Amino acid sequence: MSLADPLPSLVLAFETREERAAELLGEVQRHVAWVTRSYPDAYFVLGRKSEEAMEDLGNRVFTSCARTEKGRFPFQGRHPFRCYVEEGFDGRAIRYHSFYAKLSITREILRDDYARNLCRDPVLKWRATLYRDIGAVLRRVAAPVEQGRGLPPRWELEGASGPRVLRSLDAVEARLRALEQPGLDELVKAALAEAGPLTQARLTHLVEAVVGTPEAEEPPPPVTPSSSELLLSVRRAVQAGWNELQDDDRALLLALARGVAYDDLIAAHPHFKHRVAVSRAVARVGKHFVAHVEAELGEEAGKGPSPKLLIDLVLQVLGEVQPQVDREARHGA
Amino acid sequence: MGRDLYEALSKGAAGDAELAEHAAEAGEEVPVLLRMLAEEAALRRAAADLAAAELEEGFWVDETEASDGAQRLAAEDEEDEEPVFSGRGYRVRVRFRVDGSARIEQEAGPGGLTLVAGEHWVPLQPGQATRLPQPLADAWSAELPESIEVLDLKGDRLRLRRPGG
Repeated sequence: MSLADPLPSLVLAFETREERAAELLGEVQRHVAWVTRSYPDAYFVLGRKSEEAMEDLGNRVFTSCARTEKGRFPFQGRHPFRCYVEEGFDGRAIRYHSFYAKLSITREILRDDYARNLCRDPVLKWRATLYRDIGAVLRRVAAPVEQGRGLPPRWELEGASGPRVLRSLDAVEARLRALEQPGLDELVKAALAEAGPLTQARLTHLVEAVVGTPEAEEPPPPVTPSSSELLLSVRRAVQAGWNELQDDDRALLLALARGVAYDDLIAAHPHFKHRVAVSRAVARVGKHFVAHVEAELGEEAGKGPSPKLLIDLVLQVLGEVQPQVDREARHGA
Repeated sequence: MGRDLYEALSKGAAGDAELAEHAAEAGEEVPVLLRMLAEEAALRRAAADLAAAELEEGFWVDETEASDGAQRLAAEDEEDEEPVFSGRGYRVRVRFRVDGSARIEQEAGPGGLTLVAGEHWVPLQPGQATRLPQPLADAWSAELPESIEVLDLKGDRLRLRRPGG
């Protein structure tokens, strides 16, 4: 059956003359709906896979393809629609990079929405924390086995070698359920012993299935968007507090603000192996940075923004500081 | 070790004992805001890492569906296999489009032909493609009939068949 493929001509018309946008959006919406059929609620805006969420996702995929420059292959600094036109992609290639590839525009947006939900929804927060805790256990009891480029490592129990009988994940789940009040260490070790090497994400879902998630609660209301005045105040306060810190204190503060693991911190700053160095930096950050920010923003008088909003803003501003620090480090090197 | 103190900052209540020890050493407590900041940042990092790991591992990329999609896309590249219905000097061709719609075109025979399919009546004009009603396009896309019924200009009902149908 020969089916006319309208996608290349739609992209060309939109990209070169801004025509046929509605038709192109319709195509995008249709493919997005197809691709996301297997995704659970957690991947969608507000944690619900509703018609509105699907439509919103399709709109954002369209906008991203039309306006967002991407550095990676095959886009190389161009927004996807421009890339498709310049490279003369056929419909199949356009669909692949926009929707179907493992690393497509659609799946990247789903990943980001999921990450946002993992920080907001109480049950999903629990999962993210479980993932982190499992990572800590894995670093103690297992060794990573690289799977190749673009794939996360699998973890294998230290000392596990020789032939073993490996079970399917369903069978492993049943055996883990039979354990009596196991701790996280025991669950992770038992899972790796029974199933063989697993990725940290796969282990997280397995452990979650075994121990069950906490009772679902309503997620907290979204943080009120900040006014530009408030953001300016926070930026001033953070900058002033930052200026009072020494280099070591700044390194520790940035590591905390980026959620850097301790092993990565000491790889870059070996002196933090010593407790006294961490202790001193924590004390100085508290005294010079946090106290300064709180004082500047009227927190002590109870007039400032809510702590949650303040944390959001401080993290946002510190995120802007990082590239500046990187640049200074490069120039200084 | 520095690890215990550093990690205690982002552990919430689980870090209390370690931070109390630090407070005794340093002479002042770690500000709540710093602990909240470290906790939130650690959560965001874990969330981003988990989401990235699931993407890299291909969670929720249903292989069967991908394969179906590939077959469907491959079908788009196949050469002419447009269904044609014919009989009594008439020939009618149906074209499916990738957007799910379909067109029907009378290629041979006198004018005045009308397609009759259930509740749908679609007047045809020789040489001109006419869009099929979407429910009909959906139904035919799922299962193409072996024959179709048409009315000619005199009102006689004719049955046009696919080759071999």
